[in-house]
Amino acid sequence: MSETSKLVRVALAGVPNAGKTLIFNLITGARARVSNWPGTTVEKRVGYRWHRGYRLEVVDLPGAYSLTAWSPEQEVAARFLVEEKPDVVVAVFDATNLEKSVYLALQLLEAGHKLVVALNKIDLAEGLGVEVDHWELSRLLSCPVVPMVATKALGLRELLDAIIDAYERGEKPAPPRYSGLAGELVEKLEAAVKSEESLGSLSSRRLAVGLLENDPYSLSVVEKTGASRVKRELEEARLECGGDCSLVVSKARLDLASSIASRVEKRRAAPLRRLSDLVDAAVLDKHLAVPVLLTVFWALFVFAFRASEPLVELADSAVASLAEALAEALPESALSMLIVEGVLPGVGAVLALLPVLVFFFLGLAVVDDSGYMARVSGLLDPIASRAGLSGRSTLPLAVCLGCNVVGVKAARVIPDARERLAAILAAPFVSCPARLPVYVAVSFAVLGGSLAPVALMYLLSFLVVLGVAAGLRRTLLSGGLRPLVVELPEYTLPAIVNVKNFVVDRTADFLKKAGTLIVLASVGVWALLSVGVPEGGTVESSLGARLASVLEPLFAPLGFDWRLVLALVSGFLAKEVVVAALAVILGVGEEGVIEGLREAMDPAVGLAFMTFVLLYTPCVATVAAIWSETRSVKWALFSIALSLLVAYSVSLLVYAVARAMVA
Amino acid sequence: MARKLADIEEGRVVRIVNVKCGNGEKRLLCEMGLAPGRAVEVLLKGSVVVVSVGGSKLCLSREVAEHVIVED
Repeated sequence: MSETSKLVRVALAGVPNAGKTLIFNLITGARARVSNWPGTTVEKRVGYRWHRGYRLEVVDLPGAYSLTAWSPEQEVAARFLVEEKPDVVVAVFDATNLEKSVYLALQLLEAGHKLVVALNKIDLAEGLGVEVDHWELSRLLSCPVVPMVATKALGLRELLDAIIDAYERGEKPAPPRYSGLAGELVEKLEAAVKSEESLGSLSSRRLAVGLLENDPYSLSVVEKTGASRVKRELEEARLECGGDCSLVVSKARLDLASSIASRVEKRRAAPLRRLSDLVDAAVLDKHLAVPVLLTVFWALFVFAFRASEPLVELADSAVASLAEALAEALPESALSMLIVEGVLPGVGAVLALLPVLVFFFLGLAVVDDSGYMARVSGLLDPIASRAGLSGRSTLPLAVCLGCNVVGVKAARVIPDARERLAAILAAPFVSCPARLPVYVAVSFAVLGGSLAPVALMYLLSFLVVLGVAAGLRRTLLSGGLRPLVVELPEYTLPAIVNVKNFVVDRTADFLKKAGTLIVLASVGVWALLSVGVPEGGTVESSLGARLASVLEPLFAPLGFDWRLVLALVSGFLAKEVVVAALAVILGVGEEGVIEGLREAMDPAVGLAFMTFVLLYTPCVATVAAIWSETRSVKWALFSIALSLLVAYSVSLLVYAVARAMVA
Repeated sequence: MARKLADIEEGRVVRIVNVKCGNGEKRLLCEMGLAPGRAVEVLLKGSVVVVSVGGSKLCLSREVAEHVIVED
């Protein structure tokens, strides 16, 4: 490294939909290191860029309207700014929605950050007849403002220059001044903070405002140092506000933001009826909303599962011919068996899933980026809130009907980390098509081929999903669900970079984790079914059969014998495997499964078996997806434990009820 | 006359006089632009209420709109 290569730590902040992700991608060339913020499941993206001999380390903070810790995301952003003290903070502004952007910027200035404003979407604002006077904005906020059109990469150079200039200048901006009561309170408290020597190292303004806004960090600092004059002043201020000063401060900030926004916005024409308003009039219409919503969901499904079909078939046949070729080429040995019968089916399953995933992410990214997703969350919120979820969770859960893996990955559109985790953990309980053959086989074997039990499974699935989500949201993952106020962004054409990134990131991550886990699990199950079996012997003497016999007493209350248990063990790999495994275990061909099942179960056991298949871990790929989405082995294991527990207890209940009804 | 935001007809512009909820929620709504003294235009009313305030468009659940008191 040369002598001038200094590291400049930059944080990107901004309200949702301001184009923060796009600007991050522009600066870093879309090469981000993705990890989790310590102790959370909130995604952390860090990227780098060289400019004028400096190495910029850019951290993408979660989008938020304020620094108040409403959600884990906002908490993360607030904590990072306080603890890591980035050299420069870039506030990404949405020129079509200035007031909210200014509000956040005021908070950042108050916290004493060196601020550079990236005034994005000036083209859209102009289209709406609004010109933003960026010189005036810069004067009022006392920080540099760079006009940008991120979708066209306009203003990037200027932004990078402004960041370096701000860094080199080194002076802190002047914090905003409020009028009225809020101004007085802040001033008095700031004076008290300044008089306290033990608080000397901290920004007095930041601390004063933090105290008035009940910020836990500021309160704990004062508590620790026992600054008595500050405490006294705070008590007095609270009395003056009628108990809580936070509202007085937020309101003053909102008023200031509003006045700054109206001073810099130059309307060239009377505000037009925006195109977005016209679209919304249809999309959110009392009668049209639901049909439109269903059409969009349906189109996504068709796109993901039908458009990808040729590729899925291609992957399938490629794996099949590879298996054939290998079987011929390799000498018959345990190793070749392992590869052909153990590894390849697992790898094939992942490969066959891949086109569906890619197509689905593509569709989802477009729906999300266009602004429609925000509408969905508004429309479906009343229903989802009963399970402690918001409207955003409904799409991923609906997607699970097509494939749990895809649904888990789709949970990415849920902004709140705790809610997202609850949805991810509830997702495996949605009945996917892979379970259907089991329902059908059992129904034909012992339930007279009736469709009623199949329908019952879907009903049960619905109830369990709601129950699990509601249960988790009331216990482990509570909080975060707030009165519904969603901002509806202007509809826009999706940015290609965003869509590409969304698809590539998700897919690569999935392949990395799913690949390893699925191969391992495939080999494991293959070993269970083949180790210990002598030449020409049956599966009965295998390691798996012995294991299943050990487990048999545990499953006796459900009426499962070792054969059903062994089928469930192999079904952990994927539910598609269960029927085939039953055929092998029962010693019949796949056509004879129904006959074979009749001998292994009665109607009550059949219902309990279907229930168990519905509710226990759907497949290794889902576990892998949960692992890669939460970036936590702990939650993946928790999901397995939870699903086994739920499957066992609900099956037990179903079995008992069925027995009672038969008797 | 004071009325609930949920009862205002589409197309009308009203002023918020009060938000009836806890302090935490009040502050959250304030950060989203809904605070006493602010002018709100009702754009759409259906299963949700869509309003325009301070240059941005917000979608509120009916429950929230029931708790926002406005006047003409």
